[in-house]
Amino acid sequence: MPFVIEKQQLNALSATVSDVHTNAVVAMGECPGGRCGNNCSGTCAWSPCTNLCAATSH
Amino acid sequence: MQEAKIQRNPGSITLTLTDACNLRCSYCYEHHKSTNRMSFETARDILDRELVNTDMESLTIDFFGGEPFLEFPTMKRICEYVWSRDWDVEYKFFVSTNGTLVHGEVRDWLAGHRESFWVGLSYDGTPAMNNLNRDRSSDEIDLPFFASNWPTQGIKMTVSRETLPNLAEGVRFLHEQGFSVNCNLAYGPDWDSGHWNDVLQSQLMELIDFYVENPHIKPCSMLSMEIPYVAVADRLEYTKWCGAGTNMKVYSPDGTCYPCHFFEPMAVGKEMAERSLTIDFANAAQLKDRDCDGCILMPICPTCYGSNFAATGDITKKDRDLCALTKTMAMANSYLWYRLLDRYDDDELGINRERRKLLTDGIVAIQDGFTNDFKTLG
Repeated sequence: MPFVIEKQQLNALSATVSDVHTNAVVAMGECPGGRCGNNCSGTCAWSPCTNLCAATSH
Repeated sequence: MQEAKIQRNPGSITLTLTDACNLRCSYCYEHHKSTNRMSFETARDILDRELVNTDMESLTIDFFGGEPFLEFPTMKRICEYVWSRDWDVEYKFFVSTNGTLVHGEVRDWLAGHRESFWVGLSYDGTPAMNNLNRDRSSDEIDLPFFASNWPTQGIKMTVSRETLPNLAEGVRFLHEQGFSVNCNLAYGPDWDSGHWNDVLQSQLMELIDFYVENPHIKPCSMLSMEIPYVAVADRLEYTKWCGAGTNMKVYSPDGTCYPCHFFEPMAVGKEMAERSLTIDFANAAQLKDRDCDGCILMPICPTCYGSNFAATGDITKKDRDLCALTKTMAMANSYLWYRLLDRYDDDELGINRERRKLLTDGIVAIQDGFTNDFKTLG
């Protein structure tokens, strides 16, 4: 798998945000699972879902 | 005393104006095309009902087919009818098209109504890729017309086995034309081979290199998974993936209402279409594929209830062939964000510190999950 990141690099990345605290579930209010109540996030295989998603500015 | 907060969502009313199409695309899921057409009177009666007393916040009136521009006179008459009256709900018109009939009068009419009538174009990458998938139609489609009139509307790019080896080239081409790109693997083909996963990995790596060099371009949908969800997968309730059967209503030419266009007789045949009318889409928990219990990718793994139903008769059962490819996409998303966060600051990426933290947690969760084949819950 070409996308694997070394543990050491991951730890270094995490360290850069160790002082940031978020309520992740609350913070993720945007699409997916956002305004329209769906979470297709443009990954739906067919129009019109995908197109509607863009058209309603999610 | 606090008032109860009532959430009202946008909805869509799809009018399938015709079961006919002027193209024969290689991956088309509409296996029962016919000459059925929706009459103006049928459409008018539907909209007279749906645009009054709706519980939706707003409605998109979507014209669908087949190729809906085969019925342009009816489409135009419906729009003029709706525009001539006051309604209880905000609405806009939308059409999903292959673009081949957008010339002359159609083109002039669309340009004149571009603020209230949106157009979504299906086009599969470079002209050569589009020709391969979509019946040699590229020369008949005026891409700049669509890009200039609806610049924020993404283009719909379906990826077949024949075009996957050129995925990156196709996405870059469409970005160069000014489109954001909603791309997905075609449902239906047999993707169950390590070969396709190898090809996908190679193509996604090419795209990642492109997006890292061009951070102002919104990545295509394959590389826009909402990865922060993975870090909190154990705290999320399963939510319905799309609006099928709830926010979406799809009317076939005879005026029958289906959960989405995939359940129409044109797609799955009359018998299965009738069976779909008894399915309850309101209870999200019952729509979950139980074989996916414990997988941390559940919140970002796409499903299509209609495709599942057509293939297995069960709306919950995902295509297992796509499982390995979805895991590859999740890893690619984590890798893209790792490189972006490592190279650019928040302002350059247009994010804040909280978003950086959420993305970082998502990256770590996916990378950790990879060593356990993503089955890390419960």
